[in-house]
Amino acid sequence: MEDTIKVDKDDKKQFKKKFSKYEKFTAKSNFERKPLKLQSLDLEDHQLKKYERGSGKINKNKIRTGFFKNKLFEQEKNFQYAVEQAARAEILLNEDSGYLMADDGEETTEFTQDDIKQHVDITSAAKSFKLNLDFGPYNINYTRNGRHLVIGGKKGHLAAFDWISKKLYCEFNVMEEIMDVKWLHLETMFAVAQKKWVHFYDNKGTEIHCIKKMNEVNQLEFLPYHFLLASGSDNGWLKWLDVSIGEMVAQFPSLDDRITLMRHNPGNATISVGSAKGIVSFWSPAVHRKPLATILCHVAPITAMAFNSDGSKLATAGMDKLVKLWDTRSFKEPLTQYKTKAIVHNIALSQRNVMALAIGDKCEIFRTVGTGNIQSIDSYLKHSENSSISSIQYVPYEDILGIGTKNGFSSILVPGCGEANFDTLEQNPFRTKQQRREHEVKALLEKIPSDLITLDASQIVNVDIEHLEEKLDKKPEVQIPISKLNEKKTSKRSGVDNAKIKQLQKAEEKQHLLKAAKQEEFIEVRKQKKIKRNADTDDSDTNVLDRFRKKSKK
Amino acid sequence: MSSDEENFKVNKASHKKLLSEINDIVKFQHIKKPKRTEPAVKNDEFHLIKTKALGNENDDDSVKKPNKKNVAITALANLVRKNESQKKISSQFQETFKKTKVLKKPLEKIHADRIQRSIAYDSTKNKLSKWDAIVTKNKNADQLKFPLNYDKTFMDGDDHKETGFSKFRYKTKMVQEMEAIHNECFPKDEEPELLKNDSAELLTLEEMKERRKELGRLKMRESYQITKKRLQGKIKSKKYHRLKKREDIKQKLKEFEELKAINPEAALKELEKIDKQRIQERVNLRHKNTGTWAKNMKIRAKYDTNAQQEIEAQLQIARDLTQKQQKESSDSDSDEEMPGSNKNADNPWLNGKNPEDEDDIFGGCRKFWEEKNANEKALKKLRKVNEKQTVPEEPKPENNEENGKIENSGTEKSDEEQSMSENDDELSENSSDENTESQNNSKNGWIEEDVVSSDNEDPSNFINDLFDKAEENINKKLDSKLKELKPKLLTVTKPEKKRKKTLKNKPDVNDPKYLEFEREAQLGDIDEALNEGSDDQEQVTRLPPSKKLKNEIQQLKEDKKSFMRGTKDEIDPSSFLNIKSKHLLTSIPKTQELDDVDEEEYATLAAANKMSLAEAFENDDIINDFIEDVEAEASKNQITSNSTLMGWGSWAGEGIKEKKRKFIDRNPQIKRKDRVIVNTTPHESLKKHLISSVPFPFTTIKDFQASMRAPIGKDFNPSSAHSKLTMESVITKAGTIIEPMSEEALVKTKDERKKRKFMKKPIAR
Repeated sequence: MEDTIKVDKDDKKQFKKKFSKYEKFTAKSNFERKPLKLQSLDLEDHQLKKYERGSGKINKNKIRTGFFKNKLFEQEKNFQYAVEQAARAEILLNEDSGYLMADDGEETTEFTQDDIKQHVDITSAAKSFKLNLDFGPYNINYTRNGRHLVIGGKKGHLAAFDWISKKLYCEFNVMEEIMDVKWLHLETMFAVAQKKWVHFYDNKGTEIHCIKKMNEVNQLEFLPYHFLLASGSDNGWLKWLDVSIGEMVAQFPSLDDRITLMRHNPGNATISVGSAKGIVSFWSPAVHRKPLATILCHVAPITAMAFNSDGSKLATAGMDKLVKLWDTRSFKEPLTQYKTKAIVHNIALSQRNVMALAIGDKCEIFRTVGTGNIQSIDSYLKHSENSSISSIQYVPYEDILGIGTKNGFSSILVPGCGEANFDTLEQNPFRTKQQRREHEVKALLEKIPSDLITLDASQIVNVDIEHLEEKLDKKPEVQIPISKLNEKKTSKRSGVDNAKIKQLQKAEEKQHLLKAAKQEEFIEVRKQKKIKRNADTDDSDTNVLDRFRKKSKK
Repeated sequence: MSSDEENFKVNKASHKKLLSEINDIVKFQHIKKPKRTEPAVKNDEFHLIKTKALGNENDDDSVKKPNKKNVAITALANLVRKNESQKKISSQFQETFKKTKVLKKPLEKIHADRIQRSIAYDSTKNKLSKWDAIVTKNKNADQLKFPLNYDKTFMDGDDHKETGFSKFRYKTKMVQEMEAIHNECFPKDEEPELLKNDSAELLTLEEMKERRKELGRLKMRESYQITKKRLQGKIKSKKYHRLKKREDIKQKLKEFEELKAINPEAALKELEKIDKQRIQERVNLRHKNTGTWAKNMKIRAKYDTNAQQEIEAQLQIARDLTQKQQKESSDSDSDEEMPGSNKNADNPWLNGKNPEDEDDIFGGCRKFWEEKNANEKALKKLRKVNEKQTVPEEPKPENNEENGKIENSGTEKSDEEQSMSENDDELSENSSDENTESQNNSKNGWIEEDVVSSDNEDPSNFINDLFDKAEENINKKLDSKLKELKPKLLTVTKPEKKRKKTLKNKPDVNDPKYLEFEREAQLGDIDEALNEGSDDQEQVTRLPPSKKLKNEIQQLKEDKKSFMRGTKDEIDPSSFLNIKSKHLLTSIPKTQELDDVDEEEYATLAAANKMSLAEAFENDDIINDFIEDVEAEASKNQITSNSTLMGWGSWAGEGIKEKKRKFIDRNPQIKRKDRVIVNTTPHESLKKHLISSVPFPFTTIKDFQASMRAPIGKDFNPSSAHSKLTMESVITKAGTIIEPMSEEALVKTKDERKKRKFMKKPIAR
């Protein structure tokens, strides 16, 4: 036994030695010969397709001059390069939005806010809170960077605050009914639609303006790139106010007698109005009294409406208990249609297309599952409030949904609803005062004129076909010769003018004559040359009177 | 006509007189002929007068038409010629007369100037054309940085390299590791050493080119050597090869001796190798009767029978050796045939000398013999047939010649027969060795080659060969004729050819297209070409630009219409409402809430409830309302007819203004069932910002829109792409003098470079 043990020990020792050697060796070799996995830099089609700018290919044969052919070819290459670079830069967006995942036998809808709060970090948990307020159903609005919040109760309570740090900017009662609140281009100003007029306040609660031209406003919308404040009033009028210069851009009555639902499409800055006739109409301040488009969405009054963050999708809900998703580029058919058990009063679409429906006092959240054409929405979270919900809005760049209710305000956690990667040049939730000022200047410089608001934003690149056609029709195809122009004698002209015209004509004629003379000269020279050649070949002496000589018969 | 002619005849003499008189009148000139009173050195050009008018003083004319009044110099010279003393002068005169040429009248100033101008224009154009290439290059460049430093265009394209300081960079550990990984993944192609050595130096573009040229030269030399060797191998002269062999052997021996002195072991091996080579050569029996010994024996054999026997014995040995080999090979090949072969083995007679073997030896000759006979027969037959056939047909010239050839060959063959019979015994020895055969051929003066010998078994083949031969002959004749003609032709065509060659070989460096890249044809091009051919696009391209645009506009409009129509067809309000909807399992709001709501809210909620009830009923009202709206909208767009009558309901008389249209009939007949009304035409305020014509380089709307489709701003592109898209076309370095381009920028031709070098060298020394 001992022997065997000894042997074993020896073996072990040997083995150890061997192993250690081997280990060392492997360690070294691992370092040296590690199978290298380099990510290929070639991009796949689906990656590129995401960033492509349409497939307008220039027909080279129809471009004039080789120089421009070359230039446009280079330009096309650069376009392609831009697409590739954009696709490559995608790896830099490493922040990804997570979402709730249920174990077997569980469903995400079972999770309450308390459950979620317990399982998230403290900062996130702090973002979920509730305010019990007494001044009636509340309208809420977040700034575009998602940092600031203004709430307005129907009974006149108005409060603006940094909802993350809970720092209150101002809080007061306007002693008037508040219909709607909206932040203007910065967190320093907001507009409030009160019973009579629209008032502007700064974040200290000082009233800056009272816009009396906007009266009895029900709904407010702010177009950040155009600096336009749009309002839909109780008497059915649509009004646009340029905030940067303080002038009304357009005001005209809409199709409806009363506007209760109005949203703006962030993609093309059109205003859409949902009516009791089930119609959604699109308006631009540039086209008066005539909608850009009207679409019959529901056969019942429309109760709620929301665009997604890039304005490519529109969700509508009606009294017929239907929720429809539309592609805003073509309203041929709803993309999908959902039947609900009760009437939906509010819809919100997040940056990641998480849809929230407010049904009475319940808030239901749906997430899209799947990619490409096989997308379907799945029930994600359920939340109930004490009282009926008056307005909901997702916080940009946060996983938070703000809910304004009859009894106050509450913000709830909805994991995976916000965009994780924010472009600080566009919107920065953490921007400083300096950056805010720079942003304001930049935004003002890049203000888009209201004329350009159309359904198809790319129309600005197009050629005005009708005008072009007119031009072409007007243009005489055959140029009239000078002689004919001379025939027309204009009667009423001053002597000086006539003299000038005559001079010009003479000059022209002279040129013509000169040309003709030159040509004649040329012909003559040619003739002479010919004659000379003939003379060289012909030995006979030529004379002027040669033609009288008798011709020799050939 | 006839009368006219008669008149003409009658007046001939008088007509002549008239002419001469008129001529006299014309001759009269106010400017007098200058008379020389003093010897003048200078001839004033103003004294030059029309020579014709003054009488034909010109030498040229005087020769042809000696005028009666003026004395012609030639006539004088002729007179003088007779006098021997003045013969010299006359001959001199004759010579000069022959040599001299009368200058042509100078062109008038305008024409002369014009010619001069055109020549000057051409020459300057030529001079300037050398800039064309670089100008086009710079024009097409993405970006130009002024001042252009064309003289220092390094191959690396790295500007920093000129200083040499920035070449050194400290590599961090990370960089080193990354480099190592990179090298592992993408091993570098090894550069040729010539380049590697000098990579430290900086090479300008020119130097690089020079280097490349040198490499090319080396390669050319190599290939030249190879071809030389190959050609040497092909030389047929025996003497040459013999001499060469001898030389080679001498060389080898020399080397061997040297080796022996240095390395005896290697020398031994070499010796073995040589020996082995010799043995191999001997074994292959090529030398069985071509050696000097055999040749001597052959000569002796005519007189000495022993010698004959010895040769036979020698041949026998060769035979035995070959037989053995054959047997061995057959053994190895097939074991099944053994019984058959055993039978032969049993027979001792057959063992020594096989009948087949005999055939082997004489087979070649016999075959040759038989074939020849057969060919003769076949030929005779053919001739007979030909004679029969050629009667109706016209004999072609080629046929004639061929026939003649055949006859000739026939006579030759008869000669062959004789010689064959003479050389019969000798041939038996010779077997089929090539060398001997060729020797014999030369002896007998045979022209016929071994074309007929072994391969041809069919007479037809033989005939074919004959035809071939005839053709060859014809070709030869043609060639010879061509050769005669060629020099004549060449004198005519050579200059053109040369020009063509130069055109082909040397692309014009000065041509701006020289530097442009040749685009390779792609599949797409072919498709495009086909498309153009098939479609009516070709017609479109021929149309003037305005019409083309109009066509495009029409097409765009139609597209739009069809799009709208498509939507109309697809969507019917009643149909769209029947889309199946998914059911969402949403919760129902608490009803208890109703208890604590205010009256207002209660009212709204009640209304909502009502609506939800209403929804249970028919929804037609809303749809019909919308349809009505749509119809109204559509009818607005209809063509309206104005039924207003002038003067109706207003005062008559002059100066009435047209009233605003009051009576407008809208056409109510057309009903559309759209669910969507979209205003696709751009509105007026947007139109202000739109372009209303297609800008210059574009001819179609589509192309213009395509060129504008991608944004170039910072917000829509990555920064690298943005900087590339908005790259400045010209950058000027501040604070530097930008001088005009010097000739250094041009790509130097070879001789120019040489010149420059030559100029530089003395300075360097």
